[in-house]
Amino acid sequence: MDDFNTIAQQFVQFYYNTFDSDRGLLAALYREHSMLTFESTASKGVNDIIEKLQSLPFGKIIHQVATVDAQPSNESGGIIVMVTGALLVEGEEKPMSYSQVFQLLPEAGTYYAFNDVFKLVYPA
Amino acid sequence: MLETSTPPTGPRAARTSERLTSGRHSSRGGIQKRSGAPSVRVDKDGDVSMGTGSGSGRGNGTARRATPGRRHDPLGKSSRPARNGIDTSSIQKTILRSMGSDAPLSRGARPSLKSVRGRSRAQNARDGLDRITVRGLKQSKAAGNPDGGVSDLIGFLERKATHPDAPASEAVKIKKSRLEGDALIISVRPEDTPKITRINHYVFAGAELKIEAPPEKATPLESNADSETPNTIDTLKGVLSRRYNVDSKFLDLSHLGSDPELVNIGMFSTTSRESKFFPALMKICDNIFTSAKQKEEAIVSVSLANNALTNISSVTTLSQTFPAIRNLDLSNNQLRNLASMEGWRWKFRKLDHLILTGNPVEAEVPLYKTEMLKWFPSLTTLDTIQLRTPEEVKAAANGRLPMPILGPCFRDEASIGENFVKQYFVAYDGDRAALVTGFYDAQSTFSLSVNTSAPRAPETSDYKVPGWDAYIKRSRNLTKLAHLPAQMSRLHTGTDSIKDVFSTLPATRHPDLLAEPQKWCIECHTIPGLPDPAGQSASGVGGLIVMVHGEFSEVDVSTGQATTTRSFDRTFVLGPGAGIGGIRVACDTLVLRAYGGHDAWQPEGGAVDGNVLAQPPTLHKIALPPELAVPSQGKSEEQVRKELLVVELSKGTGMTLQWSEQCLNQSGWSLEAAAAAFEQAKSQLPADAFVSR
Repeated sequence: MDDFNTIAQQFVQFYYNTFDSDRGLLAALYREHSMLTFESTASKGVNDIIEKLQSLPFGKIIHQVATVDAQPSNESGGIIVMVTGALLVEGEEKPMSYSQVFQLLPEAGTYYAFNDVFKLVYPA
Repeated sequence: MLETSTPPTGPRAARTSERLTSGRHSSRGGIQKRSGAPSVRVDKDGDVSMGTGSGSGRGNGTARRATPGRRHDPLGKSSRPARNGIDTSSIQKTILRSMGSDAPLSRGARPSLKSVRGRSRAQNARDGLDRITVRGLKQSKAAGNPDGGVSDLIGFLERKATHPDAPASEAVKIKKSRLEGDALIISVRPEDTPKITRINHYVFAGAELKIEAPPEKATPLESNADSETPNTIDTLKGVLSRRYNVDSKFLDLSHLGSDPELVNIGMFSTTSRESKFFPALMKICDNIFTSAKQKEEAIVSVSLANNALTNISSVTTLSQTFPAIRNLDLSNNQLRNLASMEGWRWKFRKLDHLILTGNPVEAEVPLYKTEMLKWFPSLTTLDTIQLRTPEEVKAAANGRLPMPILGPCFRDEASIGENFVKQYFVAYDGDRAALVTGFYDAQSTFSLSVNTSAPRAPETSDYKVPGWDAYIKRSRNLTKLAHLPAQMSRLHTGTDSIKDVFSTLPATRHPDLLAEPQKWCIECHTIPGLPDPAGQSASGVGGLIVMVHGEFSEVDVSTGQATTTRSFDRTFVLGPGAGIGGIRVACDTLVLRAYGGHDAWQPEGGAVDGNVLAQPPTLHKIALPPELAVPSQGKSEEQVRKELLVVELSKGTGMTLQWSEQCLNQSGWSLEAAAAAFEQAKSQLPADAFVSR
């Protein structure tokens, strides 16, 4: 298995590519006990999380990742991933800065997001 | 117009074209050529304008230029004081125009029609000729002639101005002529000017002529067009102070071209000077005010109305000098599309009211209002119509997402996260080594990364961006750090390593969490499976993930003064351990970015108390048995978790531990459900359900 840095970067890349192209496919990255906290609204479980993501009131969206940092977070291979970047929403002029934290846990050779906490940190 | 008997009368309409001799005509240059095939139209004022596109401007006899493509103000709001009065706004319109995108044409090499026009414009100022305005042609009977009577009038003027006995070499020659509205502008040698003005009030083809001599010429500056003299600066200062209303904080830069002072110093005499005029004006403003704050306080509104701007490039420096103005009047210009204003897109972040009436963009870009609202984030009013409320602006600025901003999501356990955050940043500012000893252990990890691309908050945009020298060498931004050894060397593990790196980071001061909760956004979630430092749980123990967003100032340790303010995002993974309060920091990731303010997480409606940390007084003091909610031999994780919930509910509601446990039990051990049940039932609960105070 790759080191946690590589895993974190691969996860981040896959996550945002998928988010920006078809949010529904992110279902593969969550489990029933996963929790998404998007701008302080918590959703638990794959269905609720995907429903939340699909219901976000914007169409086309592009994530521009500025920083990724990762640390091993537990002995069984968990990884904490901290991302900051900018969100470009269709029809808006300026990107919005965000911070997103993933708590990744390993499962059968892959990783899923146990916690996913998204927060806008600068509005414009 | 009454015909007077004293002055000799001129040719009647019937006596026409003997003047149209070819030699004469060609000597008059490009402008005359242009009016050789005039298109005559009558505007709503009844003014006739002639020439391919030469507009409505009326001259006072000073430097006048063709303004191709310009038309009358469609709303009839043109600035001229009276219909036949003097209006040199066209001059400055031209000026500002030629400062714009078509300026290079003025230096064009050879005569396409356009470059001829452009060149003439520039030449007019330098050709040493006087320009004289002659009115009355329109009222004359010659106006019905094929060329509008221009050639007749010119012949008349030349004939009357030339002394009957003068030799041919001294005959008055009109070098150039041009129709503007109902006035004929002629260019003559300065020595001929008195001869022409003498003809004032003569009657030509049944109409009295009114001939206006040019004002004093500004020759001294002509030779010095490329560098502004102190004199010019003083004049510009005078213009500024005259156009500034201190009470209304209004800088009126409308009708610049008709400003006699500016015209007199030849500010618009050459293309080169024109192009420097507005930037020079702004530069002077920059020198007058020492700070951005001063400017913002002194000048709230600016008018650039009636300046014939076809685009804003000539005046774009306004947004640099006065980025914080609230009101901007661009009415009665020639802004045709969004591209013509592109340079100001997303500038003027505080602009509240914009006026664009009397610009073609109104008719030609149906969605311009929507666009303007996007371009100027604080805009509420466009063309005196309110399009959104200040509240809507604030909401838009807050989220920039069409969704409400909620308070932070804080799912703490037994106030562990809360207490940790309260202690942590005070200690981080005070004694980092002690902090590391208190919260970190040999397995703890810390890393930081620098987000150099995050935007700054608008209120700080006037200041220099502080550099990242103190941090960048330690930045573990994996998107920029390709090599594994570098990646690993910037991950600090264990107290010694973390103490080391903490000691190299600049001293800091974080805002007081209780006094200024609005500057913080803290979220907290429980996570499972952290390593159990006691080694008793193979599957690990529960912990918390705490996300903190906020700001800090760097402190100059020698003076104690705060210097740079920055924003940060920091995530801690906390688990049970041997540290302060029985916890340890397992992971600590810090991201630094330019100061971005805290509007992003202010809940809608301005409530800042969405942050649980702002409400510690509402928590009830509960006397806890020492063994409660603490992991110990023989106690299952599940039990610890339940005990933590009991403590939490008890603190939140003031119920006794027994009542809290019962309530949680009935609510399926959901803290939220239990809290909701409590809210419903609390008025019926017996007194002994509560902890005595």
